[in-house]
Amino acid sequence: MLKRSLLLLCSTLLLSAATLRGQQSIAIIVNPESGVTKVTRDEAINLFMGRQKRLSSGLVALPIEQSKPAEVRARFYKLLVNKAIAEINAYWARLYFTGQAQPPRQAQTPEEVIELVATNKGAIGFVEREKVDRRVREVLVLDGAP
Amino acid sequence: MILTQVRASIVVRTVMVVLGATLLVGLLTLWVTNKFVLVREVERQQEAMEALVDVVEPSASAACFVEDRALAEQVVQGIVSNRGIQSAVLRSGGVELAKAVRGPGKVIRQGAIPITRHLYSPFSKDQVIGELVLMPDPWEAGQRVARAVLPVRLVVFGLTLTLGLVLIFTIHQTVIRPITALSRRLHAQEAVEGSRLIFPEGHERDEIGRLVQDVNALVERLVNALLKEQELSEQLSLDQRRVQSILENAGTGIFVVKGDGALEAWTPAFLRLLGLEGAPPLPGTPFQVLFGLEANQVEEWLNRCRTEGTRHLEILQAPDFVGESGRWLQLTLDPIGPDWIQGMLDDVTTHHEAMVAAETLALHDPLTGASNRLGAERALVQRLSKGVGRLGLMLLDLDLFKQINDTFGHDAGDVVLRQVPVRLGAVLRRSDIVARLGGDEFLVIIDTLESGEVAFNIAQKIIQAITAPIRLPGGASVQVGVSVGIKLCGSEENLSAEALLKHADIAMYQAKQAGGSCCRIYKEPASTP
Repeated sequence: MLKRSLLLLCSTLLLSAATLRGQQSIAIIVNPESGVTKVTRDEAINLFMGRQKRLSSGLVALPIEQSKPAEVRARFYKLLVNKAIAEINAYWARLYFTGQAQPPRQAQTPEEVIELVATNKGAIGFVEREKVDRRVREVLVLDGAP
Repeated sequence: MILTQVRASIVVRTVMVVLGATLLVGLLTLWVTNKFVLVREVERQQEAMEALVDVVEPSASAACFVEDRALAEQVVQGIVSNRGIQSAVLRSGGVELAKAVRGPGKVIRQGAIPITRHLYSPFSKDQVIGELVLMPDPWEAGQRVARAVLPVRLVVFGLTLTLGLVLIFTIHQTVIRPITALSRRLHAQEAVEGSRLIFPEGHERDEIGRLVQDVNALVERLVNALLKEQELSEQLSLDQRRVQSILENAGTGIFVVKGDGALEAWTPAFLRLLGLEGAPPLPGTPFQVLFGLEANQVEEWLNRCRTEGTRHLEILQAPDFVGESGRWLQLTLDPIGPDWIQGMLDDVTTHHEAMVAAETLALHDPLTGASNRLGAERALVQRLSKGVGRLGLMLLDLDLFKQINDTFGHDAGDVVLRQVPVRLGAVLRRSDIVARLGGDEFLVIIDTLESGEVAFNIAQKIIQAITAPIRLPGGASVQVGVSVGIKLCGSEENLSAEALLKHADIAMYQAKQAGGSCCRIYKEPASTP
């Protein structure tokens, strides 16, 4: 009986640790030379959802999204606009054929995201916060906690 | 004319009223339905638009979010492809992104309420980023209403038509036909005893049956009344004939005159009595004319009769123009009402003659035919009462008459007595009166005697006439004397007949004393020496 209770407690702890790890913060990053130091949440939504086409410094914005792992992308949109990937896809599908607004450019890995941001002045992307390094500037952090 | 007849028909009137009411109710129903359906249709249109907006909202919202005019254009075109929406506008932040109008003319009809839907950001439910304005099509709504109401309209008109036809048929069968039949029978009905209307088939117990019953009862009552009246009329006619027969056959002439004496009606006997059978007078002829009477006298009779309300009786000699002369008529006038007088005329000749004869007998001496004492007294009183002129009374007493009676008998005396008035009549005027007072005493009354001298002369003539010899039937001749006493009286003297006779008697006695066959005039003792 006791043994079973203990087992239950252990598995609960393990699960909690996994959840904590999964809810790691996501950071929005820009090129250090973009002249942008801070981005508001609304500004971030407008930039990633096609409404705002320039950065606050005046540079043409190049939104980049990380497609792998899919979980990070899903968490990003969940945290940013509280929407599922399907909804985001549907949104872009409506705008896609008119060609006036483009969805963010796809990058395969966090490294590729950082690489693209580091090499393009107007680029703006997102990675898990622990992946941020000196080549890019962190301008907004999206937390699991509101 | 025809139109008036058609309007007067029960069928037409009833059908018009019922159809009018049905049509009114139908139109009211139609109107209410129309209103109701229109409201429902507008609601439905609103709901449909809301639903449509719900469908396009994500796209519209996205188009606004990124200000994508191409997407906006697609959205509004998609919206106006729906019937019932005539235009759609998508605005973002005061800027019109796209607009679409339905139909070839692109004309927006007025009169509809637009619906406006605010568009929120796809990523923030409290951020308004634009609006979608939709204009419904009122004509489309009207068309839909008309389509929805069409069955109701058909039902109303169908109902009215059916109701009308059924009503016409029913009223014609149940009311008009029996009434027409009844009317025709009533028209041919004779008002005789026992005639009855036949009940129209199948209407024995309904209102028409009751009407027939009532008509039959009425006819029966009327026929009974008619028969009774006929009976009474016959009775009356019989009575009238009887009365007429009585009137026509009565010996009495009956007539009616107005207050002014105008003759109005009469019986045959009236004409017969007046000898007018051949030439009846015109109504309105004054009746005095028929009698040959004076108008004022007749007027007096009529007035008295009317004002005093009493019967007036008059004995008249029949007028000269009546064929048979010497007839006497009795006229009786009785007032009947304020303005009418009924007259009766009777032939009283026989009665009158008898009366005259009786009077003659009572007032005359049967032996001599002269008046008797009573007649003399009545004549004297009559003359005194008139009081005109002077009167002369002569009392005559025969001298030596007793001897003639004794010598030749009473028959000879009678001859002498009979001779006296004859001889007196020869010397006197017709108006003078001769009377035998009794025995051998006679009285002569002379009217208007001027003087004593004239009286004396007359007396001398009388003495002369009477003293002349009288031949008796046996061949012998006798002579009598006469003593005359005269009494003259003027109107100033107010003496009774008896006193006058007394005075004459005194004067006669004086003449007798003087030896007879002479006369003496009465003088008052005072003036006598």
